[in-house]
Amino acid sequence: MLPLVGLLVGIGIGLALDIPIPVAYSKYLGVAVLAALDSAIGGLRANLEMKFNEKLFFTGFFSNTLMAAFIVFMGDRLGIEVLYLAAVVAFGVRLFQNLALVRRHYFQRRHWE
Amino acid sequence: MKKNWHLSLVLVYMVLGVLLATSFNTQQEYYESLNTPRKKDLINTMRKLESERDRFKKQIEDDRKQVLRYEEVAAKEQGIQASYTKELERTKTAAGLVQAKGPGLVVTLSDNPQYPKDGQPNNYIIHDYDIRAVVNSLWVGGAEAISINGQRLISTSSIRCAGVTIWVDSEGLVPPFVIKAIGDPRKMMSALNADDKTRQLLNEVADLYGLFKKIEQKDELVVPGYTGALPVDNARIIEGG
Repeated sequence: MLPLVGLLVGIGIGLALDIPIPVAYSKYLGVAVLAALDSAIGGLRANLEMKFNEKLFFTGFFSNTLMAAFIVFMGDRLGIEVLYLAAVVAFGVRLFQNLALVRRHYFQRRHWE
Repeated sequence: MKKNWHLSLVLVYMVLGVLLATSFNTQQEYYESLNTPRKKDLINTMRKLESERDRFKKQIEDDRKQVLRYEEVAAKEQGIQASYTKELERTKTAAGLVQAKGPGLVVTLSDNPQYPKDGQPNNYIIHDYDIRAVVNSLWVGGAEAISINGQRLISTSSIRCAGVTIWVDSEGLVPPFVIKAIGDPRKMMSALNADDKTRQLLNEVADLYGLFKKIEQKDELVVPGYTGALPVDNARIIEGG
């Protein structure tokens, strides 16, 4: 439950701060958010699998997020604007995989109890 | 164990929440920014067109006023022209340059058709001074237009004898001499009687020598216009005179 509360609090802080991001960078931010989402679900999954490593999770979260934004940036600079699709597809696929596993683990654990 | 992962997960989820919210805000701004300039452009365009329309409206108004002014001027000019035309017609009529009609007298004079018995043919014919006397009397009687045998008399007209014919201006006339005069018939009649010479000619002299004379009063007669030359070689208009 607590992670959900954290998420809501974070959303509240973000809306309250209203950090101005130039419209031109909104694409980077979007992909970064996707990566962050993927990492967060991944963390949840690792936790459920009892494989959760705090250091791995932290570094993964930030490096994935930054890397995703960087890939989009590179795509724009290299003239391959569709490169962001690679990040979107990769993180998207992983996101759904992680989500499916989280669901499965959740039900399995409940079943056992 | 539980506390351990909870803390880090909660932290990460908070960061994720901030990112999500920021992204959401940014996207919202982006969509608004897509709309706003267009809206602003449309508003600006509308305002510009409105002001342009107002300007054109004002221009139309001004133009209409201008047209009205021109029309007034034109009407005035037409009025001036009309009065000039009227004045010109009056002057032409008075000068004898145009045909005139109106009430008046017709005086017809002619020689005695029979050969003179006493051998003095001069007494039996109509002379230039006879005609001059009659015409002069008619002028005195207020005649406005006079013609002799269709020759209109104007201000420079002369009646003179040349050989056996009487000349009015550059036209030689033969008897009978029909003198048409437009004017008040009664006034002209009394003028014919008031002048001694004319009265004698038309009464005693005519009776004595058997000259043909006839005086008719007409309600309407037509006097033709002068058709000869109008030389103005020496007379000059005096400016401001």
